[in-house]
Amino acid sequence: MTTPDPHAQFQELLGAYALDAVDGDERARLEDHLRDCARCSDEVQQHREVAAHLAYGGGDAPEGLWGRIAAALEEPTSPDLATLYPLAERSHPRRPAPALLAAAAVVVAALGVLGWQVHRESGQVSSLRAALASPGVVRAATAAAADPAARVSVLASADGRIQLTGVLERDGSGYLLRAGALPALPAGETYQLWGISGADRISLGLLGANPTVVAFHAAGPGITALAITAEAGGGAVQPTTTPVVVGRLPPV
Amino acid sequence: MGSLRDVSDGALAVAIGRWREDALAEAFRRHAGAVYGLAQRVLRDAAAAEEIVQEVFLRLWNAPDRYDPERGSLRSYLLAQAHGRAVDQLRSDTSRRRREERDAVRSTTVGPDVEREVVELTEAAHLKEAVLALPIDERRAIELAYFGGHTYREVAVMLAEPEGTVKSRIRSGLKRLRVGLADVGTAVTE
Repeated sequence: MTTPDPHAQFQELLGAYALDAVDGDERARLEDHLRDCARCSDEVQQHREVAAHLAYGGGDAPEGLWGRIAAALEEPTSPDLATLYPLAERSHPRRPAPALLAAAAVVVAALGVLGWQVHRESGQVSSLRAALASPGVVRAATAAAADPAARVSVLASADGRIQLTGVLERDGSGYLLRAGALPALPAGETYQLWGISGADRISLGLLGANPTVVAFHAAGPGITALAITAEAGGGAVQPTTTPVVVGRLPPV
Repeated sequence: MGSLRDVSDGALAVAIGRWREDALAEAFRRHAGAVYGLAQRVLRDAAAAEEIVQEVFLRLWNAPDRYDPERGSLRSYLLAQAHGRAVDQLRSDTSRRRREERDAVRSTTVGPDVEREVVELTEAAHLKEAVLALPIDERRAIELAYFGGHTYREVAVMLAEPEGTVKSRIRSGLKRLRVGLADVGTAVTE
């Protein structure tokens, strides 16, 4: 007796699978196969396109349904802090290693726009100060927010109560709008903006204790999220507190 | 981007990825009727179908990158999402399930009903033509699986056919429909 060809067995199931008519272990095994087999997953997609034609109803969705969806969009969605910002990585704030400082200096050197100032203080912290609200910054931020090519992110707190908007232009110019939503910090503390790129948290600037509109610069498509932490006055090389707000950036 | 009415579904998905609510509204205008119709057909419950539509469009808003325009149409993606959710709901509710099975068995014994139901849902004439060209046993198996939300094993029991025969019929029927739709000039996305 010969062993049946597993590929052929899976192929026979593809139509039923595309209609959600396979379940249990059989479905799990087939899904494992689909991850590795482009031909089979293409066939599933073809069946789904055919099914989509069958589903053609010609009717409209019920009255008022869009209104309910639109209302739900305005409700704050909690960003997934655990994914964006694994706790384990910042549970032990430590002195920055020289290599890290060197890396930070490279990032700093690569920025150098929009009134950023770079300080090395006590050999510890590379501190950046973003350009804070001025009429020019507000105008530029408003223009960026209206640019369809810009990446827009809603930065929100875990409970959704604090929300501000981050806009990142293709040339790396970035703006935070409605930063006034951040509660004012006690004297001696500052908000610090971070770009999250893979496992790296890159400082994008110190925002002060009571920011309104902020300009910053973040180069490259690698930054997938923005986060803001509250830090001691001079800022930190790496975040030392849980972010007040985070927001994903849509892909470029 | 000017009027969204004229843009492709792919461009719409990109705009949704940039948190453009008007793009989501346009996707809703284009596809929500079909998504609702399918969920309603599977669940036979208007309120539950509305919930599915909400879930599917909110998911598109929150995770737009799950849709890959290279892989297929936005409509088939949304419908597959809605169908999967509807079927999960159906299968998690056993008492409802038993009722559905009774209904399904009843409808298979009536025979012509199945044909009528499919045809009602396929309004365009060329679609009717392709569906009517299907052998009745293939059409019946697809209908029970897709609109009835049954597994192919359940369909086999309902139709008193071997399981292997039923899964083959579903696949061959879908392939035949694909060819039929292409013959009558309906574009089926690659």
